[in-house]
Amino acid sequence: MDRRSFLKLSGVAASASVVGACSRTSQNVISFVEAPNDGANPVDGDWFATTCRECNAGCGVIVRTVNGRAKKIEGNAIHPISRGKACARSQAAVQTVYHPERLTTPMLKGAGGFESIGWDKAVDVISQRFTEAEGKLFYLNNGANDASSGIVNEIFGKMDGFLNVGNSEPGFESLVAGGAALADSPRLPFPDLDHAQFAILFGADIFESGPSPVFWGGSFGECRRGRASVRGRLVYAGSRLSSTAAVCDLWLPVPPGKLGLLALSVAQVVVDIIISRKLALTIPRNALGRWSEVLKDYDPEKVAAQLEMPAEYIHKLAIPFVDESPSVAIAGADVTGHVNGVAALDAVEFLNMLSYEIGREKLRIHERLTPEPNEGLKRRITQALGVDHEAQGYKRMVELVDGMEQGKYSMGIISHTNPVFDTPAGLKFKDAMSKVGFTVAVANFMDETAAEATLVLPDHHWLEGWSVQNPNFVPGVPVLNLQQPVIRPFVDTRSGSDIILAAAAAAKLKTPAASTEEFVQGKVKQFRAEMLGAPAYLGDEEFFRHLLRNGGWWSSEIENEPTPTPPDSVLWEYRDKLKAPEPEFDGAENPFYLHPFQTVHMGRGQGANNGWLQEAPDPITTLMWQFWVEMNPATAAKLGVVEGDMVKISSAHGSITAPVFPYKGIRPDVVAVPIGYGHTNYGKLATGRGENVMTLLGAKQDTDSGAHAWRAQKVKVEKAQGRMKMLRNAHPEGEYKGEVFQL
Amino acid sequence: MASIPSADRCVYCHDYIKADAPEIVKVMDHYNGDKPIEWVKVFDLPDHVWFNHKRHIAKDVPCQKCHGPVETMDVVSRTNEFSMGFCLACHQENEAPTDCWTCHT
Repeated sequence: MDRRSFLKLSGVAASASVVGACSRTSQNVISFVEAPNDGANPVDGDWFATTCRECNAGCGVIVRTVNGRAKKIEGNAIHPISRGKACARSQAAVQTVYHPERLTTPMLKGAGGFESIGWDKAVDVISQRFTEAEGKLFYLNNGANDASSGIVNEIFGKMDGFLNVGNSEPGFESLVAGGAALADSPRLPFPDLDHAQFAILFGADIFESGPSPVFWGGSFGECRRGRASVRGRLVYAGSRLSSTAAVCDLWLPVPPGKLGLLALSVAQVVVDIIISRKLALTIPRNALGRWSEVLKDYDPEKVAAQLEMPAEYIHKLAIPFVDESPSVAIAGADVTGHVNGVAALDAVEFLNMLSYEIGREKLRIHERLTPEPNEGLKRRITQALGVDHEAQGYKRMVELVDGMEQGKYSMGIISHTNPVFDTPAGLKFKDAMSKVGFTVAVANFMDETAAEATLVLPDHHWLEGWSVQNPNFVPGVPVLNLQQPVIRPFVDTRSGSDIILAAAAAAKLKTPAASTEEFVQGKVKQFRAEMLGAPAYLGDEEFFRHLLRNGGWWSSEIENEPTPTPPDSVLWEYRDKLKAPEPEFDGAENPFYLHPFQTVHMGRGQGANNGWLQEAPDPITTLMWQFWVEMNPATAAKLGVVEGDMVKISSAHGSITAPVFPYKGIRPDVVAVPIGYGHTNYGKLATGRGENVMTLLGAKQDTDSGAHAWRAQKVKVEKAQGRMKMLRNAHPEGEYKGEVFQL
Repeated sequence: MASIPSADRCVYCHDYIKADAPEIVKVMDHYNGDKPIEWVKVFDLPDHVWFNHKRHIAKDVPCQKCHGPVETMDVVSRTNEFSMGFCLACHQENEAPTDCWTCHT
């Protein structure tokens, strides 16, 4: 059609429309009585600062609310841990507030299962039990130091027979104990990745699990892109190429349990370099001599065969560790998951100490700007909100299970943790729990543990309730996170700690406050005098409001004093710590090492009922809504299976079946299974999706810290019946391997 | 087309300012009774006319040229008939386009 005929036709159409539009439309305009505020406009709504409680990292977050509904969670830019970022689990937390399966009423187990009882009756029942228990009770949470734990501690802490336990992240207590001899007190290691030029990650899946993925993610960004002329280089050593390892420059597939040996071998070369180059360190030369003597056994030539890598690779780690100072060594799950975890952590901390001294000699140490460390205040805040980090974890869980078996407890409170699901089969938590006369589960959802409890109390979501939290990160730096209700409760829930307070008051026990909010205010008042940078002109009430607007208190940034060299006595005696015990394995006769791992979405299983998290593709496999087992293609070929074929994995404790996902980033003698799948009672999205790898695990513990050695398990793998379509998004080896882009 | 603000916007100030004036009382009645106000359009163009304020303001055409002296009116009323001749006269005077498609798109 040419232009002329187009215009002619358009003219006909236009005149037709003029004829049709002769009658005027309404001359009235109807306006709203009240302007709608539907949240469609991103500038609408109010932002409130609070603290994310999806894990214990203690990230400060801000929440956008519109019409009393939480719409979006983002990181709080002024918070020292989150630094303005929030992880997938934090952002998906808005889904759990409005989840159709949220518990809405307190339920007491009767002959015919759970029955709804009113809140008044729930308080009566608990208060009666408090009176009868006479202090013989336990409180179990996910390892958080928060208002709830603090309140329980203040009510029952002084009574004989009371136990406050944290079912904290696996390996947490090893991290706290490792390298304690070099630091002035037990605490989490805190290598400065932000300013490092070279980093060795010893099985440290720091961007997907561990103390604070968000913090480490920020550090990684600084290390890689934060400086104009330096691109930080990272090496990952461990038996599986995790999503953390995937962003490193080199992956060394070290056999399970041998990372301590690798660290000592690197240390041997580093000490040799220091001596041969006559680097003038503040370390006394006697100490260097002693270490050199002890480390002789870890010469790369001698241990290369055990580490299954050429000796030159160890030199390739050690030489840049000296030359590209500042360098850091970071240990993580693949270290703490074995029985020799603390010994290996000591070796890694030794490397960090050497790195620090080399950096000091080369004037290359960057003293980062951090909130001022104050170990004493940090510890007092921790104790005011529960128990010390050292007193949490698996060792205490074993003590608890023994106590339950022996009938030491007539009552237990289990708050926001799911030990029936996420503790190893070898611990036999469920059996022990059934021996306690009365257990209360404080939860948002029905789960495997709540189903075993006598009374279930639906708690507020963390966006709806008050709390105060001491994060288990950053080491040494005191932080008092405040959690405030940013929205009104969506369903008829009550704060679990408010119910405990009410029941304790009814049982004539001494309570620290009338409500959780009052307790939180009290803690702010208690520590106010020690809070650096707190405005003195504000009254207590105004100061509390001031902190709520920020999301809590942390000391203002200072330029740190250089870390002092440990005293000579420590340096000289440190040779005793330089050892690499052989790893031990449960089911050692089996051919494959089992490598359970946390994914960034599922965590320890709490993310499994969240549709957003199930829908988010796993960073490595790109699988969604699905469970899998990773094995090397060579192993798969040997077993005669291809992608999607079912295999049976079994140990003395149990067996699971899973579809195979062949993956080159894993040693041929290792099979890796994600944690958090295979719920049996956690709502329709989670229940029956995959199987629970914890049912395969024995109860092996770290020989020093007592942490659960969750990777010290060997298993049998055999082909099973059936196949499953693997719903992956792309090929794990990059999109050029995927079907869409295949040439 | 610009929309009319919601009635609660009026109430922010008129709850206090001239709250007794008869026209304001009417607005308050609508607000308190949760009844939307049906505003009467004084200036209206047929649907087949496409008009954009932005271009006219950018050319510094005074408001009063079309709307009359609204700053002096207690009750706004139409002083010009919005006919095609009214638009064209001004377009020709200011050498604005007079092509049909300028307005009748």
